[in-house]
Amino acid sequence: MRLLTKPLMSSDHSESSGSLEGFYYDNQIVKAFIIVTVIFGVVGMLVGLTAALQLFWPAANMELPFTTFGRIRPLHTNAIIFAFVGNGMFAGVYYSSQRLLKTPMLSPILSWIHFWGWQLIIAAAALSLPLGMTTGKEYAELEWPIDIAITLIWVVFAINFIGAILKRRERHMYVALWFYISCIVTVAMLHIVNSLELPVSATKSYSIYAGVQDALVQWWYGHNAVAFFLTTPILGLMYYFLPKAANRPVYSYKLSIIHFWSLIFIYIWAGPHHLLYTSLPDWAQSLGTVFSVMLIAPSWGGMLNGLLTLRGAWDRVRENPVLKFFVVAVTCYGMSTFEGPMLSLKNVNAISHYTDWTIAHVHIGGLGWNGFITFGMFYYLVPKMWKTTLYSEKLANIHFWLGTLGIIFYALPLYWGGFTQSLMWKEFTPDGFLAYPNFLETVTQIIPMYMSRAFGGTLYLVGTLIMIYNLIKTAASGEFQAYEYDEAPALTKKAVVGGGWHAVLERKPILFTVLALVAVLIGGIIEFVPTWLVKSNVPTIASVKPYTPLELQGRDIYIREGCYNCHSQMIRPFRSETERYGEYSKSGEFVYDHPFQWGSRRTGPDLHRVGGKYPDSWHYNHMMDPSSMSPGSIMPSYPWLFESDFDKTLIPGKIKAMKTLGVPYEDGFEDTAVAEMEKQAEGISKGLADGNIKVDKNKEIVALIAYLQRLGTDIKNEPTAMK
Amino acid sequence: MSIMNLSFKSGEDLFQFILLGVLLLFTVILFFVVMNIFMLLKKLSIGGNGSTVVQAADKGGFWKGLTDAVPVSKEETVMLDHNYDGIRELDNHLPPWWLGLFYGTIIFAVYYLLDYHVFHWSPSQAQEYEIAMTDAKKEVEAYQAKLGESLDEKSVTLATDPKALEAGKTIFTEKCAACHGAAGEGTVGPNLTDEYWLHGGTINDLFATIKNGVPEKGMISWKATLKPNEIQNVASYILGLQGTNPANPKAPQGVKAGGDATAATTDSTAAAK
Repeated sequence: MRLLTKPLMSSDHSESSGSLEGFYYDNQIVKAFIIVTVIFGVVGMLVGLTAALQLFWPAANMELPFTTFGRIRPLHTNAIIFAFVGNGMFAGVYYSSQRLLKTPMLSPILSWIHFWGWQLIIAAAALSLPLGMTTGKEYAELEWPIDIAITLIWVVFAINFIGAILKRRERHMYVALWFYISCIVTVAMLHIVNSLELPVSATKSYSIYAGVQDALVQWWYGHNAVAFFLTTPILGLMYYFLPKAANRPVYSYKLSIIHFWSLIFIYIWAGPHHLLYTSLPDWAQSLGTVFSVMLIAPSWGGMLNGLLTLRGAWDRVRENPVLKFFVVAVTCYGMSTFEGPMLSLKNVNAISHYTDWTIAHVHIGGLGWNGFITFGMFYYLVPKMWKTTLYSEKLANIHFWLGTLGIIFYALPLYWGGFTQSLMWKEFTPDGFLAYPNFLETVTQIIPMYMSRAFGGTLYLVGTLIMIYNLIKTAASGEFQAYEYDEAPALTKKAVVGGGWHAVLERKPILFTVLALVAVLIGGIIEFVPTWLVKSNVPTIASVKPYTPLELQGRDIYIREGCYNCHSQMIRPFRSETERYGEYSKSGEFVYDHPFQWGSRRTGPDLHRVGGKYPDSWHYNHMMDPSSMSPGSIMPSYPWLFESDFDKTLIPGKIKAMKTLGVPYEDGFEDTAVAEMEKQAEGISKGLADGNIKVDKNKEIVALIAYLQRLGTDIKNEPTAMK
Repeated sequence: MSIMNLSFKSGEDLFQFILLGVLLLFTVILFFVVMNIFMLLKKLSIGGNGSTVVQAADKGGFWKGLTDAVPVSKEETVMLDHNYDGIRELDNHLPPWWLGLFYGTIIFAVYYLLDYHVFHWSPSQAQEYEIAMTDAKKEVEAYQAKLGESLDEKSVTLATDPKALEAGKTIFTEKCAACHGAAGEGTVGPNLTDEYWLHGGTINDLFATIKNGVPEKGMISWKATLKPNEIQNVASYILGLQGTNPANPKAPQGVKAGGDATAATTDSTAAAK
């Protein structure tokens, strides 16, 4: 290993022979990204707080569809990931790349297309998600036209960035740039592969994958969005801003190399750890587990290189708010990258999965790592770009402690709550009964934890507001440097030799990019191809049939309302789950599910076998007012489903789309689908009338009931599958 | 109920509880370490300048052995000639403990895959489930054997103890009233206060109906939710509602107790015209 990373002591940095050239760094684009980062940060946190309130006070949705948990939880995650962290990351990338490459970006026009394009995408997301336009896949909820826009804007960013690398005046690429490159190529790959969908209208599409395959692709994406959007570019920012702010050399170049390549190669495999004990084949689950465990060291390599760079600068950590934020950020990074592999162990995951433990885990990363790096970076950048000093160190310190306390008040109760709830789900009495057969009991138990988490979130938000005030005051006291002059010798064409093998790569950006792409392709290919091609991975079940048109429409309503944000459809093979929900889920049951709806959190009970469990009238009353059927329930009411008619116009198109995707509807079924739909709806409304419930057969609630009553029932007609 | 009342039935439960404890502790410790660093720095800086800190960082053989780092005071010897916008890089060795951790996880990964997928020492998840179910069945049987005869639809008797009936009433209000009405007058489900029954009106019949449900008619099975004595209590309470004549009664359905089938319609679907 030491041989491979032979330190480069040769002359490549002093070989300058080109003439000195002057140029300007563009600070305006950085400023623009900083402004939108803080705006969307506050918006994203407020939406998160609203969602957190609804968990103990359901009426906080104001009884509106647009503000109900199932729709705003995706809004919160998308806003924080893509608008807050995303814009903050772009600000840092634009600032640091120019200086590391000794050149402005390829083109200011591309920079501004990137900026405005990204903001328009965010605006489109902020409108479409509350309206219920969603693909139903976590962190990839945006519908197909926005997906296309994301792809185009990402390509603009990539061209602008790689173009800048190609016209650089620095022979070698610094480690921060390696991380940016890995982000750019991998996010493009993840986004395109996971977003392949078949449109049926301008605002509705179906994932081309179904069931198990869809779940595997989705969590390959979901996990690596965390890896390559929320981790690698942020590590790049750390590698630039932390040594700058501490004025210390980076601890180990060798460690940078080893942890960079191992991190990106290993990360991509780890997605299946989100699907342990599901219907995903065992071998794929095991790959997810072992690669997650192998991730500890590469991740900690980043933490170590960050913390050890501060050797000899700890006295400044005490005074410098920037470094304080960085220290806690890197510590939180180390914490969550230790916890992640632990959660990927089967026996731990059996407890943690579907609980708030996962939510606590991601918020250590989100609030601690992403948030604090962004804050530290802004406290560094704003005084620098406005040529002044920070308005108030005291306020920055207050922000620091509010943020830190906020994280603790957020995460600790959720750890406790998640663990408590899981044990309650699993507990049996000696005579063989579930100790808490009523799911709701396990929810009301942890409501105090939900209150504390909302309090923690509030502290964090208040801290952020204080930062914004501080930054505005700072900017007002200085003068903005729109362009900053620098000069450097041009790179000469002459061939450079020497240095270790990695130094060679560092001066060949295209080769570097290709190798990074290869590193991230391998894991995905090895996991996907067998799952798609080997039939035994998803054994067929003959009695599983496609949804009827009404059920399909009901399913689309289920997706629109974001039911998957609180209800799973995946019963794991545990005694406590089969006792509570019924036979555990089989992969063959999901072959017509475009997209899959397995969910990741059980705020409410699993729904995979809810079909036939309650009468239609129960569902009718329950959707109208959940507390009428389950007193004390925190599920919101859905009165709008009783007012609007379900859509019939798209049904022929939807059936056609499903046929294209391989769902075996009979030929010509799309023509009779609407009549079929009305017939089934009529039957349901008649049945409800018998129970003295008068409902118009065209209302959305009828379609939803049809879907719910179908869920998980097909397997009951299979003599061999049921023992 | 609080988490403290949870009993640990197996070593695995205990292990999991300890693991969570360790994780929580880890969180707390990390924040304390950060705070501690600040406190320590305050003390160190009484000396007034950075060199004190540098010396302090150079000391400590334990830390040095762990990281294999070149001391800050001698770092010029491993300074690379890299200079990126003023950022320099050192060429410190990979920390030995870190490298050991990395190799360790790789060995774990190989072992894990061999264990589950080559030698099959550990059970697959389907096998794990079968084992858990068999074990549970044995445990429950052993418990019931110790307890004596079990309460079921054959052995059940009408409870008359007022406490039992009171408990039955509570269950009725929580679980049954939603469909059968608060007074048993019938709403979604049939009237329970008249003498007509769809599935039999003896305590044994009621016990069986509640326990197993009549899924095709919307009556759910309660056997996973209610314990046998709870079913006995609520069934006894329901039989006590006979002849109470609540307001807004639902029309009679089923067969009159005692076998007179002529008096009422026979089925709920037929009942509603």
